[in-house]
Amino acid sequence: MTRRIRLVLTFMILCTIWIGLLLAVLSFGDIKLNVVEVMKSLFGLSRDFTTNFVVWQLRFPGLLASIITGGELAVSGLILQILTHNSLADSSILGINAGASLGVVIAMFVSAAVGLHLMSSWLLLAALIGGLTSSGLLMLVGRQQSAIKILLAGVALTAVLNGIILMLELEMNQFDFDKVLVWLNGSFWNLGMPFLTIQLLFGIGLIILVILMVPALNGLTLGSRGAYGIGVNVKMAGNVLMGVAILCATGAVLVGGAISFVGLMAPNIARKLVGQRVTYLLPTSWLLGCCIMMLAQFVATNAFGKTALPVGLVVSAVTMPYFIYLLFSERVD
Amino acid sequence: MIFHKKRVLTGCLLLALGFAVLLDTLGGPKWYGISEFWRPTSKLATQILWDVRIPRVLAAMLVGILLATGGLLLQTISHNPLADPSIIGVNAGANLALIAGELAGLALTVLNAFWLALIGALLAFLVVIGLSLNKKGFSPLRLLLGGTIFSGFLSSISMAVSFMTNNTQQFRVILAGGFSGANYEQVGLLVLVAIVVVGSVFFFRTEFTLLGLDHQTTVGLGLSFKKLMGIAIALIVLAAGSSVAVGGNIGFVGVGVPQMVNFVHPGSFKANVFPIALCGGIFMLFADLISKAAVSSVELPLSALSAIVGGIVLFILVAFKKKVVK
Repeated sequence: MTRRIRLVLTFMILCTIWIGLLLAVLSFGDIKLNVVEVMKSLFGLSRDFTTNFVVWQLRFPGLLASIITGGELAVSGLILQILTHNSLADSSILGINAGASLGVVIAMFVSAAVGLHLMSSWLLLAALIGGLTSSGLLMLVGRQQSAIKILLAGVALTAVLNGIILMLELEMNQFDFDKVLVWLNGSFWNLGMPFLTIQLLFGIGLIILVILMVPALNGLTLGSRGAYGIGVNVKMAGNVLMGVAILCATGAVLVGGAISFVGLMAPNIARKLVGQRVTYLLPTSWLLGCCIMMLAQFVATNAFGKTALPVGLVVSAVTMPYFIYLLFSERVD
Repeated sequence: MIFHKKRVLTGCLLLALGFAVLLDTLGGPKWYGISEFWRPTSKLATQILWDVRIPRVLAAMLVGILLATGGLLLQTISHNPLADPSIIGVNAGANLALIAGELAGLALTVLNAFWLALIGALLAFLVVIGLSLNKKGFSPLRLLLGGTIFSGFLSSISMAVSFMTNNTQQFRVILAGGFSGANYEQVGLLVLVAIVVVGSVFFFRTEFTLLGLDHQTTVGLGLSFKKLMGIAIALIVLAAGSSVAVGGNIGFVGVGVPQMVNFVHPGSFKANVFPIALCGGIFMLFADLISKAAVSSVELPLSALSAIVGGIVLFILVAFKKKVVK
């Protein structure tokens, strides 16, 4: 019974933080708004033109973007960690983010060379191809189910892909270079509502898919043998889940550039809070991923005066202390 | 007989190094004939050869030697065949120190760049070692993963700093890496560092070989573990820091070259350190040649080239070798 109370309490606290951060992101910035007015405006009750305009036109897209990326990264990180049986796995360490980024950079590079205007759906396709290719390479290594091998191969792959990205990047002019650099460090580059709506639907679809797979995921936490034992089709579930994880990471890269660490941190913190059961782990990770991203968004827009830093940079600064703690606690090896 | 074979190998490698030096001196956007040295066709050609090409070639060779030696040393002391200063954040630390120094208003003269990079490399290395040490010594997984993530963290700070100060141009230069601006002053410092590093490695070669064994054996054989570790760390920092100060962020030579040599010619630290150093020099010279001569009128970024080549080597090693980490 106490366990249940603890779980409910954790959820309530997390939801409160989630809502608090949401309001903070919407209210603070160059123009400071009254929190009550912001809440009214969110429910469509506010008559104040400034508040409505700032909330809905200026800040809401950024908020939506951070919720999409944070949630997707956290979910993809959770799935990858369960699949590789390694609590340090993450789409950025495994090179999936780098692959997707490379796809996008190649698409941008080619389109600049040919002089075409890029549609965002093409970018999605390019990112998807990149992410799939890199994770395909990784799976070649991962057949033997050795966790450290997969991680090391990911490190190597990331280096190669980043090398290629750098090569293309340095061929660009200073203007494009800055643009790509900002994007690669994680920033919301396209905040048009049509684009975000598509991405939101994409993200919701994926998350529904994951929710349907929760029983399989729960089985897989026992290891592949245990999962077999309780009747999970390990091979198929593994493949589908891998695909979902890649799609999640790709979606996040598209919206927010190459943001690392969220997928690593959120599931790990969630595990500390609610334990191993995926039924609780999944929503907690999702909430935490969103919270980290919103916090980063808040810091990025408010802490450095006039310069808005790329969100991804702030994310790595925010999550670094926790990572060091994680390394120090003996549970890593 | 083995002694004889080793001599032949060293001789061959020295010959190859000489050949690479010659090729890299003559090659470039414009190729010169070898007769240019004793029968110059124009004053400009002489000037290019002696003031641009030769310092560049020497810098590339020395950096290659230093990176390969430093990489091997790190792999030996960490008992981890995949460790490399660039992976674990030493290069990123040196980079950050360079950017910070420039922000603080220091003119990045050759000497300033040197000591800034050394301090940055040292600090970053100490942090990563602190993260990866446990009671049993280095934990390989922690060293690599912690290092990778710490490295990413450091480079995001450098990036953030250059964003906030509107200084991405400088960042771009450091990112690209390469030897296009090498001069004799840098070469002089590199020669000094190389003498120190290679000399100490030669002097302590037996001790470092034993350091590759496990901790208990090392102590049991009567070696001062702490002292040797300190020397090794100092040498690695010296090698990596000075390489970054001259050549920018060139990674993966330190892991790629030792791995390739060990694959062809398996052997202990003592047996392989000099072949590896020479191969590092040769590798860097060819990489430099490719970066300046492969695409006409464009200098390819050396850091990207070395990351791609080294990363592919690492990937293949991880994929096909049965036992990666002891």
